[in-house]
Amino acid sequence: MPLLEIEDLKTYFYSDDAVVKAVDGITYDIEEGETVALVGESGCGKSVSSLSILGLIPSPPGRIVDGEVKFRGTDLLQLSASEMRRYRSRRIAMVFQEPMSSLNPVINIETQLTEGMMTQLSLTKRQAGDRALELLETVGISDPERRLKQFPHEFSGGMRQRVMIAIALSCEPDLIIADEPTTSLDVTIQAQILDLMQTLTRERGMALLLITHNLGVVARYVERINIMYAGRIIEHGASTDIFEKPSHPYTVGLLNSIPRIDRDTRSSLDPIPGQPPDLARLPAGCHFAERCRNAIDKCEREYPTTVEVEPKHTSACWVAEAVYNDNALQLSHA
Amino acid sequence: MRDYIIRRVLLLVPNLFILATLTFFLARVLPGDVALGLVAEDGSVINQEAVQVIRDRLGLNDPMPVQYARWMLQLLQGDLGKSDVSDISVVKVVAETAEVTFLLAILSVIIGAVMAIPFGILSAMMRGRWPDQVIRTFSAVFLALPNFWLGILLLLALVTWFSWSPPIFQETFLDAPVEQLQRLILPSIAIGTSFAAVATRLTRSTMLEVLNQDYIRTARAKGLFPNRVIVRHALPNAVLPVITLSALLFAGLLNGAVVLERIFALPGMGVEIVTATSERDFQLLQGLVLVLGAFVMVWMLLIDLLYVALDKRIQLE
Repeated sequence: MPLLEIEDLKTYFYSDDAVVKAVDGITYDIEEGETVALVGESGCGKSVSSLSILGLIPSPPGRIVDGEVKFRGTDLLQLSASEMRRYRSRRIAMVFQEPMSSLNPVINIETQLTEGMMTQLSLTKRQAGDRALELLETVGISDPERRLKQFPHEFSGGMRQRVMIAIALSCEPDLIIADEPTTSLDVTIQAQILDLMQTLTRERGMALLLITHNLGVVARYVERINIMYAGRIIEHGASTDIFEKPSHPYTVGLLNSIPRIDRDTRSSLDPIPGQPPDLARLPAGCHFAERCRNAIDKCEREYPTTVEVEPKHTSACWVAEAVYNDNALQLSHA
Repeated sequence: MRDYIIRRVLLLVPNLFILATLTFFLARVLPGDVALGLVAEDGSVINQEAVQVIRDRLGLNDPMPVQYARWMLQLLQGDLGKSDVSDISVVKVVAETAEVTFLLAILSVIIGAVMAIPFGILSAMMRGRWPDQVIRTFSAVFLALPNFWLGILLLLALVTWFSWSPPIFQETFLDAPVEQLQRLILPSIAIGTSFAAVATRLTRSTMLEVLNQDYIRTARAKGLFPNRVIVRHALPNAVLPVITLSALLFAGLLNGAVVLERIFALPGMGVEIVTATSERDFQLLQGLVLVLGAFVMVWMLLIDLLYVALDKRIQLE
């Protein structure tokens, strides 16, 4: 049984005159100890889908309208608020995008690091304090004793993200969801933080769900990738398969827009034209059709069914086979 | 921290100097003087000679700069002078009246905050539902009600239904704390309510804003109990603007206190200031305003210190 199974999850946001389908029926899973990526542009619903897992959607206006989120077989969506609370940080912990605003400015680091352990693991203040010291050391913060007494504004962005990781690790969860953990950090810090998260989760046998808009960043960290577009997952497969044999025109576009050192600079950068669709007014057919180079008539009318182009590699595209074969062909030529 | 407090206290000196100067000249903008009032008291024709005698005695015939210099010299010696009308020392008047006014102001702010913060939080948590609607309606009503009128209603209600009226006595708070509080509680509620009307709305809106912050999401993701998320994580951030408001409204509260002191027959500084103004008792007026000003300034200092205690990002330097 997978650690986490998300089944046809739908999270909508309701306003007076529109329904925004931020997450519109996504399905994916994560095995115990596995590292999986959820990749998509800003506003494609990837953050909303991760917040839905722990019931952290701002509601109203947001509402999970359908689907299942099974954690070791238990559907988290059926839990009461107090039962759900027990899963947070104890079973599933989160690291958020904005380390600058994700820590409370008026509470010191020690309290922010220990309060979760005291609530979820019933540790005493002293026990939690000792563990907090170890955790800060683990995430690479020097002079932890002094640092514990400090406040978030005395930390740099990278350091705060390390504190967030320490908080996420503190209750020994089985899964850490990292929502764009490095987006707001300097490029030099990004790799450090990702390396740290990978090492620490591997050592502890924790699963990691890495949510990002940057396909290039996740390449060397994850085993499987889910590509999300306009509220749905459009391609899924092993990391190497996605990179070498992308089978959805959107994935191809994402890969072409990554600057790569091994390609000719003039021809390499090839951004996807146009904008993602308005999630309140989705087209009838494929959501990507308007921007797609490979689009055929059918794409405008009917949403594609998901096909398996090779074992454990799926694509929601009417011309998936052709795109797959094209890329596989190039690969064999190279 | 200690250096900062010392510096702020030292800053009181130039501030009070400016206040003293302003009070001196503003008082003299008023038409007439104390001599006219004293002589005309019996309603007879004004005796110009008597007026001149009094003016000479009080130094009112001296040129303005001379009078000003005399007042400043007097202040430098720590002397607030004597009332022009009654010859009683101003310090004595202040000593007798300050307690009521200061207690009234402090009690009002406490009562206001005790009402505003829980109601503001409740209103934010229940946003759009009936408790929120009720709280918002009441705060709008109390915002529109003049606090002296509310004071009169409270007084009438207690007298009519419970035959209870505030005690009248001469002792100080230390001698008779219960009686003093009984006497002050109604006007404090009246003033406190009008403060709470504004502060509840502010608490509600800052609370709503804070509840949307990323760090609240982090706190919830930790699996903390909802009460802790509100009280420990949201509240300290949400009350900061309310504290600022209380500092700003404080001077305003003292204005309201003048009227309420009259209604409740409280021997406070407000009543003395009104009397001193109408009698053109410059010495008394200047002394009272100066003490009141110093009180407001010390209050502001306390608010600043409270701010620093609540939010470590704020640096005192």
